[in-house]
This record gives sequence, C-alpha cells and structure tokens, in this order.
Amino acid sequence: MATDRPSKDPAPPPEHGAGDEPIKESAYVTMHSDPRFGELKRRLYRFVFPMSIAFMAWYLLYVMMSAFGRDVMGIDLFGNVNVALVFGAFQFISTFGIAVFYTMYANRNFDSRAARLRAELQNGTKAKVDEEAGR
Amino acid sequence: MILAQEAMSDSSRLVTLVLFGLMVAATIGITVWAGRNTRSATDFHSGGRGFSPLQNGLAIGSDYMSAASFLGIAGMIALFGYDGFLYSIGFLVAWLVALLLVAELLRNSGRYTMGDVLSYRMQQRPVRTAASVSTLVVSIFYLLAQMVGAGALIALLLGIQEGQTFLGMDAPTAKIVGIVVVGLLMTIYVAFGGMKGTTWVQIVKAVILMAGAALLTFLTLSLYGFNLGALMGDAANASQAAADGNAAGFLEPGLRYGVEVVGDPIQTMWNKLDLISLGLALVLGTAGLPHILIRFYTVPDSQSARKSVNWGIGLIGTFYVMTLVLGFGAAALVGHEAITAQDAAGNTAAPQLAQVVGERIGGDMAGAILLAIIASAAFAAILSTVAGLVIASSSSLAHDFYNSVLRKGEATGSEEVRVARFAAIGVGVVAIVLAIFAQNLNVAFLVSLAFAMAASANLPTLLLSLFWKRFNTRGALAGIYGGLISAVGLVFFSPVVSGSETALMPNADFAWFPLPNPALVSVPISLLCAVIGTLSSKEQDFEKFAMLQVRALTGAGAEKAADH
Repeated sequence: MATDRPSKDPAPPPEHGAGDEPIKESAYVTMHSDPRFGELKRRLYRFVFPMSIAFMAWYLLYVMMSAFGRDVMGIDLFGNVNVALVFGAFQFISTFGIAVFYTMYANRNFDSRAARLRAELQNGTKAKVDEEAGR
Repeated sequence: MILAQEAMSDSSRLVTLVLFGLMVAATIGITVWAGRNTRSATDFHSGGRGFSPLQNGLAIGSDYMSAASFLGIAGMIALFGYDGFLYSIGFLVAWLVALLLVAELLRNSGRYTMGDVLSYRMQQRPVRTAASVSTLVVSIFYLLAQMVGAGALIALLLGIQEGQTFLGMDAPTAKIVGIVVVGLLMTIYVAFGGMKGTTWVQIVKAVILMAGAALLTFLTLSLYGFNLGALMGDAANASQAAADGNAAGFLEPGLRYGVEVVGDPIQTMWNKLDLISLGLALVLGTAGLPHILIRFYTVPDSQSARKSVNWGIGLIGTFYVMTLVLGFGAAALVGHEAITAQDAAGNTAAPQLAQVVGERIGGDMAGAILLAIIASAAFAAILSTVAGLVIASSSSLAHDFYNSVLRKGEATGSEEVRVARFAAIGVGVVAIVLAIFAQNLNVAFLVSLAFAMAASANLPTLLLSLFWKRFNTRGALAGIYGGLISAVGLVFFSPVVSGSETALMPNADFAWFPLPNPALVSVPISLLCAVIGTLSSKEQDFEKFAMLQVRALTGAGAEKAADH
C-alpha cells in the first residue's frame, strides 16, 4: 500500500498503475535540456513574468495614487462616483480579466505541450503521447 | 440606548443560539463522516486530493473570507468609507500572485506542505525546520487574530454588553467561553476530520456566508431602489466625515490609512509610506500563507488548481463587492454613533445592519431573524478559517518537523497521521491559551502582521525556490529567518508596540521604526538575505533544480488523487 511508504524521498514515486513506472532522475535531467521543454518554459515565462510585473505596477500605481494623488482621486466623475471608486473598480475588473486571460492562454499554449512531455516521461517512451495530449 | 443592544431580546438570542447549535451539529456530523474516510497521510493532509475545482474554490474563499475580513472590512467601510474598500482590493489582487506564479507549480512539485517545495533541492532538515517554524509562527498569529476576534464577536453577536449577563455569563466570561468553544471545535474538526473534514466544513461555510451576504446586500439595495449612488451619498452624509464637514472625504482614500496630519509633514509622509507598506503586505502575503498554499494540494492536478483559484477569485471578488454595499449600508442606515457604541472597531456593523434592514422591511421579528442569520454566518466564518489554520500547522509539524527532521523521513504515513492528530490538539490548546492572554490585542493589527510575515518570510523564498537556478540551502534559510525576524523585529520597534497612546505598552517608548506595517522594509530585507546567503555558499544542485522544474511545469511524477 502506497500509504505507508516512508516519505524520505522528496520526489516519491507516483502511486502505481499499469505502465506508470517511477520516473528516473536522469530522465528529468535529460528532459530539462530538451528543446521542447525549453519551449514550454518560454511559453509560461513569457506570459507570467511580464503579466506579474504589469499587474503589480498597476496595483502599486493605485496604492501610490491613494497615498499621494488624492486631488486626482477625489475628482467627481458623475454623481457620487469619483476617480478613486472607478480606479478601484478597475482593479477588480483587471484582476478578473487577467485571471480569465491567463486561463485561456494556458489552455491554448501550455497544457497540451505539458501533457505531451509528461506522458513521455511517465511512459519512458514516446508512445501513447497523442492520447495523453488530447486530454 | 443603542438599537441592536436594545432589541437583542432574549427571543432573538434564542434564535441565534439555535442556529449556532445547528451549525455546530452539522459540522460535527461532517467531521465524523470525514474521519471515517480518512486513512492515509494523503487523506489527512490533502483530503485525498479528490476535490473538484469548484469545491476547492469554495474552500479557498472560505479560508480567506474570515470573520476578520467579513466583519472587519464591512466595519472599516462603515466607519472610514473608501479605505475599507482599498483594503479589500489588496486582498483580491493578491490572488494573481497565487494564480500566475505559485498554485500550479506548487501542486505539481509538492506533496503536503509548503516545506515540500522549499526544501526540494536543499538540505532537508534545516530547510524543513525553517519552513515549519515559519508556518507555525504565521499561522499562530493569524489564528490568534481570528480567535481573539471570535471571543469578542460571540459576546457581541449574542448581544452581551458590559454589565449584562446572559445564561449567567457577563461579557468578559462570555469572551473567554467564546474563545474556548471555537478552539475546541476547530481542534475537533482537524484532529478527527483532517483535511477532508476541514474542507467540507469550509465548503458549507462558504455557501452559508455567500448566501447570507447576498441576501443582506439585496435587501439593503432594495431599500435604495437598487441605486448604489444614492446609497453612497446617504452613507457619506451620515458619516463621521460629514459631521467633521468633509462628507466627500468618506468616498475618498485617507480617513484610515495615510492620514494627513495638519502641520506635521513628516508624520504625514510616514503615514503615507505606511499605507504603501500595508498595500505591499496585502498583495504579497496571500501567496505565502501556509493555509492557502496547502489548499492547492487537495485537487487532482495543476489544471484543477488553476481552476480552483479562478473560482476563488470570482467568489472573493463578488464577496468584497457585497461587503462594500454592506459597509455603506451600515454607515447610512445604522450610523457611526450606533456602530461605535457597540464596538469601537466597527466589527458589528454588518450584524447591526441586518437587524435594521430586517426591521425596516418586516418589523421586529424579521429584524431578529435576519440578525440571527448574519450572526450565524459570521460564526461559521470564524470556525472554518481557524480550522484551515490548524490543519496547516499540524500538517507542517507532522510532515516537515516530525517526519523529515526528527525521523529523517523514515516514518510511515499512518505514523505521520497519528502525530498530525496530536499536533492539532497541541496547536489548539496553545492557541486557546494564547488567545485568552492576547484578548486585548487589536485584531486588525494581528492580521496585518500575519500578512507581513507571510510576505517577508515565505513568498520570496518560495519564488526563488521555483525560479532561481542558483538558489541553495543557506539562501533559503537566510530568506525565511531574515524575513521572519525583520518583520517581527520592525513591528516590535514600531509605534504599535510602544511610544504612542494606543500602543501595546503605552508607558514605554523604544519605537524607532516609524511604520506600523513592516513589509516595505522587511520584504526587501528577506530578498537581500536570500541572495547574499545563496551567493556566499558554494552549494548548488542543478540536477535537482532540473528535476523540480520539469516536475513543476509538466506535472510528471506529481502526486495523484487517492482512490478509495
């Protein structure tokens, strides 16, 4: 029973099913220098790093304006709605928007590639790749 | 006489108590059921990893929408207007850090705890010890905040005022009874139900809280013909700011944070820097909170982790929009004076609003019922958040400290579960005792300190572990301890602890650090420590880094859901 295996190994073998052998350390290291893994990594980094910088900058701009730009934040746009409230609402909208955008990006550009490499590592061969990638 | 106090009749208390009792019975029932289905370490620490994205999203929302954020933010908006909203924005945007940089990679490369990922390519024992220390410290501060709040709230929700008694309890006794009851319940949930029980308690709570808040939001807006602008105008005009001749200021930043002190430009600047420091702690703290991080292990794979964060963002965002309405509603309909008379920090604004809105719509009885519903939702909010914190602590103690450090990884899963159950009891007892002694600490201060510590000690080290090839043991230790010590140390030397009338020690003055919120300084210190520590040590393990990255990105070798 996999339950009672010691947990010394930080990368414990997955719980076995048919054809689900533990992956050798060397296989991971080889995969790391595989150009397709390089491409996978680039696709993730190309999105998450610029996007993280962008939303942090956008958020910090909001906080800075709340601290130092109160004249602008207090301008009434219509009725009781001022710049501060609209700016805050935009933070909500941009958070929702970035989450949706990232999910679409990852679904389209990341998941199937990751699944292909995962299947390869787990099967130790290039077989069964298409089936796994179709998930 | 104050409205809520006056009308908190015995019949209303009875309804509230009955609802509290039903909730306790239901959650204990869930715990018993979950306990029967908890056998392996994966069941205990990660609930079997079989939760759906929606279920985990609800639980994420539950961990996050604590009583402190439900009652605290609504109260802050009711008293200070816009600045309460500003607080909630930091809490929401923070989820993008978790979504983009942490959730999926952590799910793929870790097993049960934050320490799994931090120690992956490091020397196990020192790094796991550090991860465990930091998990415990952050969780216990957060736990104290929730429990201290819980004690006061239960007394208030039952309408027990200074000088009154109810069931033979006066207000101070009721507070202690509240702390002990909450502490016992959370210990029972975790020790018996593990992550499965905790997660189901959280799912139930999320539904109750969202439904309660939605109902009250709808009724409040209905009183204004669904015209939010009119509600805001009314709130501003009824606010303390209006009494001070600055009604417009209620809808602008600056009443609570970054306060401008007339004739003191230096203090004004410190106040504004403190606002930025708080903003930083809020946005960087979330993805370093251990009880949030371990939620990503409860789903089958990294795509589910992503989806569950999306559900979480949707729920939490919607919730904060409702909180905005409730806060403005309380300002307009309950009023500053009635709110502060009940609780100086405004924590009872939402329940008070429930009563007033209920009375306006359906008379006294409706007021009592709506109050009981919102009080129960708040009670549920307290219970489930503290349970999440206890399981994070006990998992880390059992998995990181007991198994990896003391037993060098030789303990079996069932031993680990046994230790985790005892650890939960230990954490529960310690938290109850500390909370009784910490009763007079400010809840908001404890929460912001927990966020600052998570942002300083955990997040930088976590990100460097995942993304920096050269990172090593010394760097990780320097980052965790450097962040933890600088965050706690700076607060100790801040006006929060000494040197002001509102400080913990008002008669002493050793405050040389001007900001109550330390993150602006402690996060860079942690990063600097991590970088210097790393570069000063020759250790580097590129092979392990390659393994970690391949596992994190592809999901190969990731822990699978347990099948029963």
